[in-house]
Amino acid sequence: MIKLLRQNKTALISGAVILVVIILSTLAPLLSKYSETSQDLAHRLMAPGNGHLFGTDELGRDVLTRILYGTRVSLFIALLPTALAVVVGTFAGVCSALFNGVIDFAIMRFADVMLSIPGMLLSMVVLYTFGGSLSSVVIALILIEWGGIARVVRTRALEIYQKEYIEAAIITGAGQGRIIFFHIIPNLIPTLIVLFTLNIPSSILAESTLSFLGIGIQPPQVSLGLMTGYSRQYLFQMPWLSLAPSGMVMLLVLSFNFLGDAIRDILDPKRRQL
Amino acid sequence: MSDFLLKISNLTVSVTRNKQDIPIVKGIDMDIPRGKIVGLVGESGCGKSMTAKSIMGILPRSAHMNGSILWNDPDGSQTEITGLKEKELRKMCGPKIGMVFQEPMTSLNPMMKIGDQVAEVLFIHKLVKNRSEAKEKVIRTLGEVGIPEPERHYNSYPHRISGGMRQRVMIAMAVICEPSLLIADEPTTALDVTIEAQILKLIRHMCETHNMSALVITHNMGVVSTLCDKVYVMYMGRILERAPVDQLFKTPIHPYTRGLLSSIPRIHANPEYLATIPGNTPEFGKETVGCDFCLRCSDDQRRCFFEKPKEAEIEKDHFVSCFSANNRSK
Repeated sequence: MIKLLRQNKTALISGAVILVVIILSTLAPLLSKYSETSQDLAHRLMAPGNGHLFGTDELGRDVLTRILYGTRVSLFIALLPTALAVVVGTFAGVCSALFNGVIDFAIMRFADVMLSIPGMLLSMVVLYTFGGSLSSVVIALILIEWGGIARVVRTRALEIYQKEYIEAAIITGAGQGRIIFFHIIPNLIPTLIVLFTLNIPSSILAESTLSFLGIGIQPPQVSLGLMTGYSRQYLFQMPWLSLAPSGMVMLLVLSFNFLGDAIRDILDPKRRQL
Repeated sequence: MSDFLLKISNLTVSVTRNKQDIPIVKGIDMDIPRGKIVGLVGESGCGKSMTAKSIMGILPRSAHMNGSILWNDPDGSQTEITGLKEKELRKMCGPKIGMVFQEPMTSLNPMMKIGDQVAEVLFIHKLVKNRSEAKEKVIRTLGEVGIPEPERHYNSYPHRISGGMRQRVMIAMAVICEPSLLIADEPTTALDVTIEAQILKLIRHMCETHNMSALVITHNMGVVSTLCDKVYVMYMGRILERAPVDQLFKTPIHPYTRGLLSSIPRIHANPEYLATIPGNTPEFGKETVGCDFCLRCSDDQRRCFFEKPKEAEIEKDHFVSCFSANNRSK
């Protein structure tokens, strides 16, 4: 699979971009002489240049440094809640596929209810209830994403469950647990990888939007959405203040989207070009 | 009397659809002698696979069965399989009954190494102490079923090997616990003719060397003639004729069996003409008073439409359910 990824140009470029962004943001304290929170009121709202590549914001903080730190939050949001949502969704989907009847009905209708509430509304409810913080954003994102994942997983698991190797395993005396962990889950993995990568961009966007609205990540923590939100008032005078962080969001989302698409193509044998 | 391994008596299986019971298997009797290969022939949908599935207890959820399946263990104890709980049945099935499926493409887990898949049953039933012992045993069995370089193929994934090889792996999975009975549900239908011959030879060989019995389900009379010792001909959920294989091929009695045998294309026959049995299989669920085969039969009589024929012994071990056959024997 890694070999095929290497042959795919889109995957190669987007993967490289993501890797560079990850390295830069983890090494942020070493790369920048400024701190993301230290204020320098004498040099407020400076234009790009003079040691500040993207200028400084309304409190004299270096925008580039803040972007690097904000990217950390975005990457964290990209990976953790999406991974947790995939875990929850897989659990719900497999349960619902295996125990048809009441449990299946209950899980699937609950997922339908969750999916019928607009994601933004749902996360606003969560954030107003638990207060704006990183952990409540994580909870909100899991709640938005698990339902769709559970549906796809259920369909796939049902399909796998019809295969003869499951019957063969039942005959040899394999228990329910063994069938789930040795036969169903391994065959779900390609689907799960695709679901994971396709959900990453929406996670990043959702966090940025919530922070932009001021209900997501709260200062003094840094987030790309938060930076865009605060610099919105200077949009016409100093556009770089909002364009730089939103450009970073765009770069991340695009790269993850392209990577997800490429992985889906590679895992789907029908789309694979030999 | 205790030379049978498995005795099925009056087995019925029906499927519930739209709150209606549709009988699929309508009371069959069958016994599988120890060390012999028994063939079960019939056309699509006549209940062959359902019979096999009811022995293994893997009927679909909508189906239910009645009757008795008696297991006569080589150690002398007898068990009524239908009375077993799910767990006890599984405990028995793995080590004592092995099964080979029709479609080798879907009967192996594509995400699991071949060796691990064959070894799975050993771990489930705790027949080996550790991994290395299991691996050794798996490699030995893979070699026995004719997989070249079993050490290398232990670590292959199923998509790397051909259909015939996969069927060999399936056979290895079925026989690794040295079961007393092997059930093969159309084991060669998905394979081409040269591989078919090899696989049939392999099944025969495994049965002989391990003193194993086999129930081979097929619609192919050629498979029956090369592989089996005894044949059951099934039609519409009933056994129409049963006999030792030589006798059945020499003197088929039931019009259906005769039709099946004459439908085999022959190389020297008139190439313009292919013998067939006229008509189609009747719809399931519509029970007739008369013989199931009466509408398609070549020598039907009046009473065939009003009465079910009883099974009668024509020659030694040769049973037929047909009125015209009964007349013949008188």
